[in-house]
Amino acid sequence: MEKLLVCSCAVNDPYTISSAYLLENELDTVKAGIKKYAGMLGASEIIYFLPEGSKDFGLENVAYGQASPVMDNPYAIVQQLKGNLPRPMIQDDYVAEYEGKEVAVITPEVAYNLAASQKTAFITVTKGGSSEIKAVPFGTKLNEVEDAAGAKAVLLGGLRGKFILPASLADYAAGDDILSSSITVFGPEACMVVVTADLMTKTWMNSCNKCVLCRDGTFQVKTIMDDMPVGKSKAGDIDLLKDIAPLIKIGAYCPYGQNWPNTLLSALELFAGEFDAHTKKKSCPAGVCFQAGATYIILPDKCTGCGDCVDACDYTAIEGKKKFIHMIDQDMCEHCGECVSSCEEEAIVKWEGGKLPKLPKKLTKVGKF
Amino acid sequence: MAEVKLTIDGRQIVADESKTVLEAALENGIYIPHLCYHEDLHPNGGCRLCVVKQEGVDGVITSCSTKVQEGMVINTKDDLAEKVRKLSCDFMFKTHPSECTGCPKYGRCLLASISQYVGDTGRALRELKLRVTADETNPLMLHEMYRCILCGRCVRACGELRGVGALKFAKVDGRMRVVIDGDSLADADCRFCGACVEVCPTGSIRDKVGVFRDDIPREQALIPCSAECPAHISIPEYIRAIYDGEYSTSVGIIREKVPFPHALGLVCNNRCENNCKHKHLNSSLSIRNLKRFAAEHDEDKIWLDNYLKVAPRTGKKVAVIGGGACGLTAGYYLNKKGHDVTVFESKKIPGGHMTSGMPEYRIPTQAVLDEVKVIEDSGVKIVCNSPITNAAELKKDYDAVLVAIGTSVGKKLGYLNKDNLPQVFSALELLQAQRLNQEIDLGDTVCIIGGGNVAFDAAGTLLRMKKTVNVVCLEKDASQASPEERDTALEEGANLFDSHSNEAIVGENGHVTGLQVHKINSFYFHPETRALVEDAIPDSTYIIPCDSIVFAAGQVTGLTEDFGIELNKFGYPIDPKTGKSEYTTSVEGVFAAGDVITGTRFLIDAIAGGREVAELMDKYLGGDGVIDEQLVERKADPYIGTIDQFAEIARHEMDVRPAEERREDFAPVSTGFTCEQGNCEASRCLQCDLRLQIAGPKFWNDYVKAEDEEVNA
Repeated sequence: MEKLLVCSCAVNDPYTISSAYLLENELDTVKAGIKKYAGMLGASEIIYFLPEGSKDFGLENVAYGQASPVMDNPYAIVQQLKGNLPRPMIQDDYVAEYEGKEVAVITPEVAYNLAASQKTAFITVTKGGSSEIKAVPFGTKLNEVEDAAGAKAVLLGGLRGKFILPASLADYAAGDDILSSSITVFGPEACMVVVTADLMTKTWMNSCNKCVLCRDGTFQVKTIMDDMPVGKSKAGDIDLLKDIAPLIKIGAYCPYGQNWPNTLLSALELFAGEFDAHTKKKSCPAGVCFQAGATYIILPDKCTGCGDCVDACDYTAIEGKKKFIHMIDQDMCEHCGECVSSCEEEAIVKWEGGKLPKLPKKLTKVGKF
Repeated sequence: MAEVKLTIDGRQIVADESKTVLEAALENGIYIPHLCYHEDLHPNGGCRLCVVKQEGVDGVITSCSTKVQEGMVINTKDDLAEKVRKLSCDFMFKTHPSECTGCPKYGRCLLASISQYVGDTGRALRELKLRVTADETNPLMLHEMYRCILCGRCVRACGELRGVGALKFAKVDGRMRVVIDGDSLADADCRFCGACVEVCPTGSIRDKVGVFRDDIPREQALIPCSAECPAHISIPEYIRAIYDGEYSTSVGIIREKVPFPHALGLVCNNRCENNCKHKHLNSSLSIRNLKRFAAEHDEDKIWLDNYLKVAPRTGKKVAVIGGGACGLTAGYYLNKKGHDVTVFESKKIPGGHMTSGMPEYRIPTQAVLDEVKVIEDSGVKIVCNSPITNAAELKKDYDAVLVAIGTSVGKKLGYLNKDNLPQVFSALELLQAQRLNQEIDLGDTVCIIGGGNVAFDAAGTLLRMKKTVNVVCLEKDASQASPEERDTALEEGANLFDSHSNEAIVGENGHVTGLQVHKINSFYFHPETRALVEDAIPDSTYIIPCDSIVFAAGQVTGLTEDFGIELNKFGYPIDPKTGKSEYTTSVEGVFAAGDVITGTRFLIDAIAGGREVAELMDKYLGGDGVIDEQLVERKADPYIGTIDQFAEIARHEMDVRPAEERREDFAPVSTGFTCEQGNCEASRCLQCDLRLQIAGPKFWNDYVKAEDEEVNA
């Protein structure tokens, strides 16, 4: 069967920008590596697969689709080329086919190192919200790439990596593995529960959803984590996460599902104190969560009971009926402020602090409070 | 293919090297839970239920996508593997409705069965139910995707197995869903084959209630056309052959059940079309006309050699009384089973109603005789001009006798013809006279009494004999007749006197001069006395002038006690053991079938009766009673692909000759489908039979049973 070589530039996760960097800055070497690999395989055609919205870097034979951690799997690429969602296929003797050709995959990172004289890791280092690429020879200790002095935590390898303490950076070296693909630094001000919850949301969004353990596992973990910074955790949530994450790691279908539980498990282990404080004491050692937010209230003397605010509220947090003073259920309120602009009487206000005025506790007719 | 030896759960197993671990285990009665795996689909690996432990390998392996290897040691009940399985089950049930009893798939749900087997851990996971509403817009299939556990079987069945791809995965608000690839199934080029329903392990994609009958076995109900056909012709198969341009194959498939494909293609009352699944999309397939099309384009007759093959002679002699469709069908099969068959026909040509009871322009004599010829060629002896007066007497010379004389005497309502005027005929007498070239004194103007199909057959015939035709009936708009037959005759110039009740046939000098009638508002037949009760319009009596009368008022057997078998009071043979009209009669070895026991029915009923009685008679004569045969090879490619605007293709009707042209001769009203029409009409078939190729659901206890049987063996 004829062979088709796809250079997949869509495998990078949200913590990694090396593919785009290489296409921008090292295209000749990448192309040389691809050509070399195509020669080894006997591939008759080369396609560049780029993430949607990416520029084309002057390349020919380009296809676009969504970036996904499974886009190094030939079957997942074929699915996207056919207009379907990416889903990997891992099976003995399986050959992914597209238009009668057997599909092989290479990434720009691998292609570069096939052609370059010096094996180089292109590490995405993210610190204080900005990312840059640091190109270092294979074998370079990661603390030489970024020492993360004074930081609270470092995430190696993004979604598929793990958290470490800055002091451990010296234990890792640059190479072609996932862990040294990115270094993300979190400063002392970071709440690791929020960081982990945010990471789990990204993990869920990046799951291809093919296998139950990753699809529902990421969703469960994301949902459980989302409850933590807002004080909605249930007793046993931490144990539940520690119970299911190792099983997902063992049982998931593809390397993505087998690796992302590491980030969660490492966070739970390294920052157990912060997690416990959130779940048991509803307190945030970093002072990020549980801050008293603004309270929205309906002033009982101004409300005419028109009901406009009820329609405006997406969270069904406003209770009331015609000609009755409306009330905001503070447990339901998501503080979006939509109700304020919907009220022509200017009866709804954002109460920044101080003692709240007296408010009705049950439905009361307009004028009777 | 080489074989490898492996160990599963301590059992030595030999398996072909192409098999997966899961396949090898299941084939040997070792059940490994699995949900997304389906034996007709490419392995998916998504459900994580089939994970097992392989000795020497870290973690667990996916048994549905791992090939067997020499020396492999597998433990399906490994603790870790079971933990993973349970977690997978836990996860699925957090997205799936937790109440099973309200689900229509309750008791047949694979998910429920598996969770029962795997067991629940009771983990306090979050409830993540998918809140999507049921999609009931498609008339055939119901989507209740809130039950979907995303195994992807439907997507794979539609894509890989059928080449259609009407279903796909999509992320909606961050959550994966199975969605239609378009605004609707029709828009997504769905072929409505039902494969998605067949493979869905839960109640997410189902057939709508009412599409298939639930009072017959599933494998019959799933092919509604064949289920409705009294002879159970494999309709989807012969339509597919037409679509493939293999008309002779198509006729061969039809002939596996009926010896008169062409005759049926011309006059069958096509009950097969009543429940055609396509009627829910726009209209049913034009099945009868396709049958005619195939029969008229069968040049190669590739079925003929097999058709003429007969079993070694048994030495048994069978007499069939009546050379109509029923008698000839039974005769063909009995001869095939090795018995010597002689058919006694009272008229000068065989064919029964096909050649003397229906109009020539609906069913040409030559078409029938050509099909009778094949039966004769197979060895059946047909003796014409040989009325049999006593079946019991005849039995003395034969091992078995079949009475298949039909209902060959037309009823005439004597009370209307008090003067016994000679120009009063039954429709059968008229049709027979026309077709067999017999004299009949009709004059110029004829009144037909009756408003059923036979009345309009008579009308069409008389019009072609250049008579003025008045059809007089009680029913408003002659609603007893099929609209098609009524309108054809009216177009050709018949006059309809509907809502008319008859008083008397009037005449002068021994000659009919008219029919005295009055008008009615409504009527009914008294439920007990069956007498006519009418709401007559006062003072509306008048006389329709005419020269003769034709009764189309039903037919009877015309049998009397002289025939030698017991009859009921209406002249139908009965089996005294049951008191009913059955295939058996009061004389052992004398059988009866067709209209003579059922009353006047349709051609296909007579043929089906002929088949059934042949099975019975063969058994009576010492045979096995099996008359099913395969005459031709056929293809059934499950990869049907898409057809542009498939759901929109309208039913084709045959081109009909203009009324003024067709009333000039006895040639068929329509020339039949053109090749383009026939091919296009055949393309509309939903190929319901393909669904039966797909392996049905198997539950864990089915595998356990298989193991038990093996142990017992």
